[in-house]
Amino acid sequence: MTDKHKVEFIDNPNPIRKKVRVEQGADPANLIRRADKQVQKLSGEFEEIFAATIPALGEAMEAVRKSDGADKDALGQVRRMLHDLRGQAGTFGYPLVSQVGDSACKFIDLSDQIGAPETEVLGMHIDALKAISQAKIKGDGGPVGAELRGGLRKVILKYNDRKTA
Amino acid sequence: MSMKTYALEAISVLVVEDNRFMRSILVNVIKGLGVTHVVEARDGQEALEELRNTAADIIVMDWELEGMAGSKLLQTVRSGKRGLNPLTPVIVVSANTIARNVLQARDTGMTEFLAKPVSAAAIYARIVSIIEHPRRFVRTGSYFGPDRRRRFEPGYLGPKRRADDRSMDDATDIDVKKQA
Repeated sequence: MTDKHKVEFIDNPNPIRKKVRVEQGADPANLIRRADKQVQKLSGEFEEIFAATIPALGEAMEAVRKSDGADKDALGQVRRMLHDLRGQAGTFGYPLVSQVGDSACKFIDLSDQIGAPETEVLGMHIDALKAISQAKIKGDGGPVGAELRGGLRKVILKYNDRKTA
Repeated sequence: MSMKTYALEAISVLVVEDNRFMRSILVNVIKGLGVTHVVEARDGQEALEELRNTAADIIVMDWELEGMAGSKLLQTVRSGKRGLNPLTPVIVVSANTIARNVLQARDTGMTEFLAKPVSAAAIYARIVSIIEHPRRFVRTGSYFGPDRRRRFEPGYLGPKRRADDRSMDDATDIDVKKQA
């Protein structure tokens, strides 16, 4: 048996336990509601950021398209903007934006290279975000949201089929 | 069992996030949950400076930090070097939920993982888990951090990296041989 398999266990003194106290009879749902209310004060700012991100995404995506994916700085910017949107939108009632952003980021992360077919798929994601922003589609977007999600899924499946053919 | 309501005003939280707006989201939620002492850091370097000045009870950190990566920051905290508390609970926050990303954070020593977009309920649940279910720490040749096996499972099927596992297997082998 080598040393690397030796295990030492260290007790966790858990000092936080001594710093907090239970509020007997209080409902944690009220605490959570209060915290949600606090964060929703930022929703106006999110909408401004979302609206400003769409043209910036379009510009960076255009640079990626023109270079056939060779412009790594522009691709990095596209990914960063999509990553930020997917991480923030759901908190403010735009889960559809988070889903589209997540799909696009995963597509970038799992692609070996970004060329013309990949920029086409990414461009469709950005068009979907543009449509959501213009129509201010909140929540899951109902039938329109389902259509957007289904459309993007088909695009990715078609891309995968073409790649494996 | 329903969740308890904890008064959290006496704990301190360090939020490490490079995106200004995302940092505001996290700080607002945490303050909204009643934590009064919330310190912000824009990157790993700033986080380490803050931690050297004042230890935090919980670190909430983004995984895809610009500059010093989240993994490097977590490694540094777990190293316990230069006065850092290696046992500090760390909640890793990331929008990247691809399995390899989550596993990397786990194997670097995170305490909890929180997927973005965040909600007050999800952050509160992670804090309650840290309070109510503190995990012992494990040091092996290649890992230091909270025990990745959250509970004792006699039929554990995960990777067997520990000397004990080997002896358990040996014991099982012997029992099987005896029965045969």
